[in-house]
Amino acid sequence: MSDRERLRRDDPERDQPQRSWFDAFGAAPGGGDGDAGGARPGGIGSDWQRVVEQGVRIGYEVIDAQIREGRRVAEQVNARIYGAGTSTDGARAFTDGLFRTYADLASRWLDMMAAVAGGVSASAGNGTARSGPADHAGAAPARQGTEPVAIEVDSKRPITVTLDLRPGAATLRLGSQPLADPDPQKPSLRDVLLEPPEDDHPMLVRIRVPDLQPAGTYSAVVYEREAGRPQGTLSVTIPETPPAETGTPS
Amino acid sequence: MSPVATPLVWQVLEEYGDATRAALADYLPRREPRRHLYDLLSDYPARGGKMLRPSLCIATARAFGAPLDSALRSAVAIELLHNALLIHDDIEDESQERRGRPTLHVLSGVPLAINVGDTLALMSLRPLMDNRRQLGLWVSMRILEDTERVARESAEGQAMELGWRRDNAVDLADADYLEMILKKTCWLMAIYPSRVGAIIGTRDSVDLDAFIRFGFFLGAAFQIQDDLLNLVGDGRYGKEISGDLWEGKRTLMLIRLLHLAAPGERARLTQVLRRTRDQRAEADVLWMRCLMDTYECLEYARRVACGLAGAALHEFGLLYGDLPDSRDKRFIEELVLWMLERRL
Repeated sequence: MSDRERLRRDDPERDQPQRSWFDAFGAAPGGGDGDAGGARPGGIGSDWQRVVEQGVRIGYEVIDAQIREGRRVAEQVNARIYGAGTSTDGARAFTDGLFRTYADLASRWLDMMAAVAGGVSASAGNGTARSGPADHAGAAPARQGTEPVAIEVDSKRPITVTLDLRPGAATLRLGSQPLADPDPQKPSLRDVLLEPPEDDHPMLVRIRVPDLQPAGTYSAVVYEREAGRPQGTLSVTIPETPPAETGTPS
Repeated sequence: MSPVATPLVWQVLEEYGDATRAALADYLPRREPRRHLYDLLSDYPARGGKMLRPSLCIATARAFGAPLDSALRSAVAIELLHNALLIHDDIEDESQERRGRPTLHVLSGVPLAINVGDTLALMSLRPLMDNRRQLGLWVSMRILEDTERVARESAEGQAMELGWRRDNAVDLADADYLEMILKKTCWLMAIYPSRVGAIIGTRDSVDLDAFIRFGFFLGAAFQIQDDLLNLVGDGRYGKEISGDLWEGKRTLMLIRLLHLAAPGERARLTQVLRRTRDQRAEADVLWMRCLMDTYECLEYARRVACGLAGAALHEFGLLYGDLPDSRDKRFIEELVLWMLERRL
C-alpha cells in the first residue's frame, strides 16, 4: 500500500444513539421496521412505533380525564364544606392547616387524658373523649355546659382563670393538683380549692396567688375526688408586670 | 438488547415483604371461630405473594425521608385489603388457582370465602386507625380518605369488567381497557400505595395527583404483562395458563383480536365469549389463542406495555427527580423495568 492509500471504512449506518422502548427489550421475530407484516391477515405492518405512541397517547387521555373528574368532585365537596364560590386556595389552605393543627393537638390531649385516667379510652367516638378541649379545637368556642361556677381570686395582680370542665362535672366533688408552669423553676400554685355546689350556691373555685409568684401559665388536671377520673383542666395566667408599674417614681 | 437484571427489586421486595408479614401476623386473631373464619383469613396472606404493594408504600415513604416503621401499619392494611379483593375476584372470575394452589372458594366453598374476604377488608381498617398514635390524627385521616377512594375505584373497575363479561361486550376500545385497569388494578397496585407513602413521608404536604399518573402507567404496564404471562407463562406462573381466555376476560389482546378478526372469525368469537366458563370447550380456547398469534395481538400488547413503561419512567422523573438518591428511590425506578421483565 502506498503512503497515499489509506484505510477507508464505510460511513456508519447511524451517527447517534437510537433508543426507543420498542427496541429496548428486543424486537419480535419479523416485527421490526421494514418487515412486510402486511402479509399477515389484518396485520398492522411493521409500524410498532406508532403502536407505542398511540398507546401512550391513549394512556394520557385516560388518566388526565380521571384527574379532571377527581378535581371536579373535590371542588363540589369543598363547596359544600366551605361554601359555594369560596375561596381561594390560600384561604382553604389556611383553614386546612388550622384543622390539621387542632386535630393533632386534640389527638395528643386525648392520649394524655387516657394516660392520666389509666384505662379510659381516648379513641374517637367514646363518650369520655368527645367532650373536653377537642370540642373547642378548630371550632367556635362552646359553652361548658350550663352549670354556673363562681371563682374567687386573691391576688394583687390581674390574672386570668380558665376552667374547662366536662358537662355535668361542676356538680361533682372535684379536686386538683397544684397548678404548675412548664418551667420547673417556678413554684406551683398550691392554694387552690374547689368546692362543690350546695343549696343555692354554685360550684366555687378559690385561688390565692402569692405576691411574688412569677409570671406564667399554671395549670393542672381537675379530677373527681372519689373515682379519680379527670373531669377537665384549670389554669391561671399571670401576666408579665410592665416595668412602669414596678419602677419607683422619679 | 438483553433483558435488564433487577436484583435490587427482589432484595427490597424480600426485605419489606418480610417486615410487612411480621407486622400483619399481629392483626390476625387467633380465636374462635377458627375453622370457618380465622384460620381461613391467613390462607391467602400465607401463600407468598410478591408484597409489591406494601413494598411500594414503604419505599415511597422512605424515599421522602420517613422511617420504615412509620409506613408499616399502612403497608399491612394495603396487604390485607389486597388479599380481601383477591378472594372476591377469584369468586367473581370463577378462577380455579391462585398462587399455585386452589382458590379459597374452591377449597372452602363460596359462602365461607365471601365472608373471609369481607372480614379481611374490614380488618384492614384496624392498622389504619392505629396509625393515629404515630402519625397524628390528620395524616391518619388523610390515609383513611385515600383508602375509601381506592376501595371505590377498585369496585368500579371490577364492575366494568364483570359487566363487559355479563353483557358479552365485543366493541371495546383500548381506552376502555385502560380505564378499566386504571380503576381495577392501578389504584390498588400502585397509585394508592405510593400516595399513602407520600402522605406519610411528606406529612401530606405534596400534590398527590402526580402519583395518579405515575401509578397508572406503572400499574398498566404491570397488568398488561400479567395478562401476557397468563397466556405464555411457564411453570413458575402461579395461575392457570390461559385462564383469562377460559374466563372470557377482556384483555388488551382480546380487544385487539376482536378489532382485527375477519367477520366470520368475529362471529365465532362473539359466540364463544357468550358462553359461561363451563360451557366453553378447550378447542375454543385453543382456537382463540392461536388466532391471537395470527394477528400478533400479544406483540401488540407487549409494545403498548413498553410504551406505558416509558411513560412511567417519565413521570417518575417528574415526581422523584428532585429527591436525593437512595436505595428506595432506585427501587421504585427499577420497578418499571421489572414490570416488563418479570416472569412471575
